[in-house]
Amino acid sequence: MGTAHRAFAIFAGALSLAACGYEQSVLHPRMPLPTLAESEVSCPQLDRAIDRADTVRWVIRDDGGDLESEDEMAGRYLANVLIVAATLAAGMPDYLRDGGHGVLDAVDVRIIALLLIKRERECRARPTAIAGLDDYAMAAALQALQARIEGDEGRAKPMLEERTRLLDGLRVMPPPAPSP
Amino acid sequence: MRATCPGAILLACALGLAAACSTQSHTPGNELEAMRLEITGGDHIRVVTTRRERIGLKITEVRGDRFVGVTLRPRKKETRPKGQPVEVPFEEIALLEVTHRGQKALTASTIAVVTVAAYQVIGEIGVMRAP
Repeated sequence: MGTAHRAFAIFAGALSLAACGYEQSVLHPRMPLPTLAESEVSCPQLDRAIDRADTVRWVIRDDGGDLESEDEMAGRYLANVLIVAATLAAGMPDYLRDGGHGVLDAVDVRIIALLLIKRERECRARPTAIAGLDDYAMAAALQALQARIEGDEGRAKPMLEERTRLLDGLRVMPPPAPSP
Repeated sequence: MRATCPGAILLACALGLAAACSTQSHTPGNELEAMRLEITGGDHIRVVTTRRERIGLKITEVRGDRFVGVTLRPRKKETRPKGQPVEVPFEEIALLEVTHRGQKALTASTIAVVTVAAYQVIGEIGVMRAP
C-alpha cells in the first residue's frame, strides 16, 4: 500500500471515528429561521422560543453533534468519493455523515436570529451562564462572529468553536425538576 | 428441500410492522402547534422539556394544555423508570418525537403478511404432495 493510500486510510478512519461520536437519542429536527409571525410575538413568547431552540441545540450537543469547518467538510466529501465507491463495490453502500453539523448549524443560526429580534424589540435582557455577559451582549458578540463566518473568513474552526462556546453558555439552567 | 422459509415470513412481518409505524420529530412553537400534531391515546412519544429532561411516555389522555400518560421503558439518557404516571405541559415541550401507528398502513401490512404466509403454506403443501 502506497503512502498516499495509507494517509487516506488514516484520514478516513479518523473522520469515521469522529462521526461515530454522534448518535441521535431522538430524531434531531432541522430548525428553520424565525418566521415573520415569530418576530412579532410578545417578549415572554420570544424567550420561550429561545429556550425551546436552546433545548434542541442542547440535545444535539448532548448526542455528540458538532460543527464542521470548511476544511473538515471538504475532507469528508473527498473521503466519501472513495468510501462510497469502495463500499458500493463491496455491496454494502455507506458514507461518512456530517456528525450533526447540519442540524446544529441550523439551530445555532435560529437562536442568533431570535436573540437579535429580542434585542431589536428591546425585551428585558436575561443573564447567561457566562459571567459578565447577558443575552444582549451575547447577541452582539454572536452577530459580529456570524458576519465573519458568513464573510470572507469562512467557516474556520476557531470561529465555530467560539460560537459553540458562547451558545453553550446561553442559559442559566434551573435546578432539575424533582422526580415524582 | 422444504418450500417454507420461516425467515421470509419473519422478514415480511418485520417489514409490514415497520411500514405501519412512522416516527417523526417536531418542535411545537406553542400549545396550538402541539395540539395540531393530532397525538391521541395509545401513541408513544418521546419529549425533551425546556428543563432538559428526556421523557418517553405512552399517551393515555390529551388535556387542553398537556399530555398525560405513563412512562415507557427508559431509553438511553432518560431517567424516569417505566410505568410512572406523568404529565407534560405543552409549554414545556421543546422537542417531541412521535410514533404513529397508522390504521390504514397497519391494515395494508397485515394483508401483505397474510398473503406471504399463505403463499409459503401453499408452497409447503405442494412440496409434501409431490411424488
